[in-house]
Amino acid sequence: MKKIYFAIILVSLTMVFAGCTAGTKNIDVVNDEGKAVMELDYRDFDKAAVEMVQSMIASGVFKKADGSRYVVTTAKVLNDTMQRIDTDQLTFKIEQELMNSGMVTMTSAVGGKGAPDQMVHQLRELRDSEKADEFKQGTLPGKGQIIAPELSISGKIFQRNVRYDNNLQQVEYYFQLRVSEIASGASYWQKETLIGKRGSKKVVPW
Amino acid sequence: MKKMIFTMCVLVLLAGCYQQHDPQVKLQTDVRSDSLDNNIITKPIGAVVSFLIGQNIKVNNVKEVRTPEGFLEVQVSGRNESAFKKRFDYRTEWLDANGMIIDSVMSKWMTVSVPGNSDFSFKVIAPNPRAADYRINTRVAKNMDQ
Repeated sequence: MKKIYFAIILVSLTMVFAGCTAGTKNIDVVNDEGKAVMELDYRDFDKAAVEMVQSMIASGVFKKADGSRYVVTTAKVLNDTMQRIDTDQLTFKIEQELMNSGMVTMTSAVGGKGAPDQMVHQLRELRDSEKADEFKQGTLPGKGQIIAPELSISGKIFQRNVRYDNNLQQVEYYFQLRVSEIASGASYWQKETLIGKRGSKKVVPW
Repeated sequence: MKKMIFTMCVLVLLAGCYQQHDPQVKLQTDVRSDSLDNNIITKPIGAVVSFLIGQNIKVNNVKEVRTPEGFLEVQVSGRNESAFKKRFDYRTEWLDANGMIIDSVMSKWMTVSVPGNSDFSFKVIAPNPRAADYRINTRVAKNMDQ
């Protein structure tokens, strides 16, 4: 009899705990009103990207005197936070918006993390190898075709942890970007965006 | 006495469960941005913001300019007429000459914070020169430290 009671209690407890498990839900990424988190989440990257792009466009930094488009590359954007961040989460949005603005052409041939599109160079290596004979002549890219970038976007994301009081900590995330002319090294635009969070000291922001 | 304490406890509990009404954005037929030729006061946008945030935020001026590169830039100015700090989010959607929405990373919720009895303004710029019109939606800002 005792075994039956034990089994009933066990089954009941299992059902109660199963009922408490939060079901998985998709995030409404357009109108997300979810709780803030101490780490950087997609909303923070969105906010930083919007501020950066708005400032870039408003500054007129990409207006070329002859009316043509600048060729732009993204150089190194350093992640100096305690989190494992792919900085493309920021730069990809910015590149996308700049291209859609019709002001610039982004290059896929060179970049801070290497060529964004490796095929640009892989096909040239093939062209110079003995396998080139396998390709229809004239369809391989010729020499002197790649357009070098004139401007580069570089920067860093860094983090500062500040003790706020006995129970709270403050985490400050700084997004810094600049646009430089590669030929002269002159910097034409730069901006810093701060995203600050305050929360429990027990939460480790990494 | 016990009954009274019990009633009070229930009331306190219920008060804790109360959630502020979440207002919806309702754009009426006459709600639209003003044209470049008539950029003095855009009451419809002001009415929407005031409706959402409460009666204390008043939008009294919307200016539009075209940048030399042809991008539409909009500055919304207003005043927090309450004695308390107010925060709200806004999101701009850009429309081309045909009224079609321009897909853009820049259509994200951004926050404005205004101290009590103070003026505020924020600027938005179109994602490309094709933008001819816009609409600005608002909501109460959440997840902010006091």
